[in-house]
Amino acid sequence: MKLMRLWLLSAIVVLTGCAVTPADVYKVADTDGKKALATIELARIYTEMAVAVSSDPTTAPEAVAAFKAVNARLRPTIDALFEAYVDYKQAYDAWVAGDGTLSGQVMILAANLRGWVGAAQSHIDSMRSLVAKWKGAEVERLDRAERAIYARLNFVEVLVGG
Amino acid sequence: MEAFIMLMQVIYSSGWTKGVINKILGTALAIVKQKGPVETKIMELVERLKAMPQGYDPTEDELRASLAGYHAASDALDKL
Repeated sequence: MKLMRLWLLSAIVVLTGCAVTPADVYKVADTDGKKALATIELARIYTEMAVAVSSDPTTAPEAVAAFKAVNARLRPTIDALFEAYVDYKQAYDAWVAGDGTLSGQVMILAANLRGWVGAAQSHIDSMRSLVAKWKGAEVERLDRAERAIYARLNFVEVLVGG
Repeated sequence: MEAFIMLMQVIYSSGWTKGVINKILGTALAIVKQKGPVETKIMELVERLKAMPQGYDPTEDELRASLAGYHAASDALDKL
């Protein structure tokens, strides 16, 4: 029994320490290219979550409208980020291949790319906040399900004489 | 749900205490709540980035594939 308690305690400690955020993604992205990829992927992840939350019939219409409004700003930013990366990558590859005249241009294009990454991050943060806000309803439903399971368990306990 | 209840009945009748089962159930529900789809996808993204060599810049095609994934989600949201 002591081992079981220790195992459960360890599992809870590990689980509570493992919450991941977008900041964890940028910690492991050591190049501008990886940061660009991470940003587009985070945009995809939170937009997919927005779709999932919006598709729930119990989600309020204003939530769906809010998701769409944020995405209307996010999409052109992500498209611009992609174009900025294409420009940067072409110049960078040519510079690495030996075209020394491109060093200044590479720096400018890298700064431009970082600017779009920053702009996209603020929209992604907005989407993330909205997802967290409206996912609260989902958590509430899980809580209700949990209470229902416990109620059933109590019922079973009475049946089996526990 | 019925299968779950039946399993619980078997476990109860096997002599397990309610406290132990409640702890296991609580932990399982905590996992469901904490490790939602967003966290799982972010973990996968972290692992994907970690698997790339240090100093590596993804190819245009890699970014284009990610962009297509985002566009698909964006289009789905617009259609709602």
